[in-house]
Amino acid sequence: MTILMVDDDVDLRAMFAELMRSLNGDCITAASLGDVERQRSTVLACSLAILDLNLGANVPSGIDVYHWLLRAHFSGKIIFLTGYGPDDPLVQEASRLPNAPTLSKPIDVDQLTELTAP
Amino acid sequence: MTVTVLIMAAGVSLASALIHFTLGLHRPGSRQHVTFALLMLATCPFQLIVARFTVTTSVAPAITLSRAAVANAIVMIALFGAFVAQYSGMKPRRTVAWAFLALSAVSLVYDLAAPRGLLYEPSTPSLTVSPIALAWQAFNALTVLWATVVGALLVRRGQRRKGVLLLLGGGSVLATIVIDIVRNVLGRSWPYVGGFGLVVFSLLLAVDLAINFRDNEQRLTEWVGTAIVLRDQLNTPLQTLRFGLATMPAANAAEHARIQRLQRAVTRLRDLGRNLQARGPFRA
Repeated sequence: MTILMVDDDVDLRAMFAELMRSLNGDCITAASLGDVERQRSTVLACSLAILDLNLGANVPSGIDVYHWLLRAHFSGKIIFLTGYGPDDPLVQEASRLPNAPTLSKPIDVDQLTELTAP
Repeated sequence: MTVTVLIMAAGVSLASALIHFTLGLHRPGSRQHVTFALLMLATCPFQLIVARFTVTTSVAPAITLSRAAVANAIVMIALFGAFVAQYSGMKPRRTVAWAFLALSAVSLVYDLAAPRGLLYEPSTPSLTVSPIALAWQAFNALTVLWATVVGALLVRRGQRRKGVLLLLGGGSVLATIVIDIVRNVLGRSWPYVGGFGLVVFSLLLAVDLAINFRDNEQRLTEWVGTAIVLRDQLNTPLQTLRFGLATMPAANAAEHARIQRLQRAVTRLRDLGRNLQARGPFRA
């Protein structure tokens, strides 16, 4: 199972990749929608996409990545992972999107294992 | 009509006293609110005594009422001075404060001991205001004038709202005291209005309180908002830490226990952030 992790934090992406290696999983990481678009074919082959909601100021958000994935006929599961609270407008917008639950950072490895289970 | 207005003023004073007692005794306590509440509490019977005095025609009850009114007014002026010092943070010199208290105490004792109280001349058959009474009223006017000067100083120091409040409030109290002095000097029979100045002062303070409350609420909302932003920004490093700890090899039981402790620390930090909004009275 290959997981797509989109987050603007370089340390988190690196640590996530290391964790996936230690769990014998595959992953690709991206910092932005542009990164995702550049890796289109590998991204669309993933079975799970973990999207950070806020990818920085004045740049496309995780919700834009979600819509891009749907337009590109992504067949995997999508979840949002955010550090922001339930009152944040982006979190509220994400919670209204179908088939994409929102999880709050930090999640633990057990939760991640559950998500990656086939 | 006059009696009705005086009774209404007594009601306003009592309501103001209750509000300021509530504010002053509610945690965190505030001495200046308690002092102002005591001042308003003293103003309430003063207005009622003056109301009764206004309709009294015979000499003996008028002397009893004026004695009580003066005693009440001495307490009011002392509390007024204490309040202005607390509110402005500009305390007079210790010797001046003691002299003020001593004069107030002497006036009180004289009022209670003198055959016709402090207000009336004992050597005349009719109710004539004594020179001592005029001196005492001048002393009151000076006390209030000091409060007005303190207000002007506060304005000059940049504490505009407090300063303007003391200027307006002190000015209104001063004006009413001057009216009372003129009444006594001219021997007129219109009612004493000294208490009204304090009622006006209490209304001005209510406006100040409302503005203060709004400012504090705004500040608190901003602080909570900032704290929530910080919490949100903390969660991504916590996630990195969580994943990082999960990748650390635990070669032995001691290392395993250390990693578990660090994981628990991450959990506690996460819970701390999540509880922040639930605990706060305001939402950002």
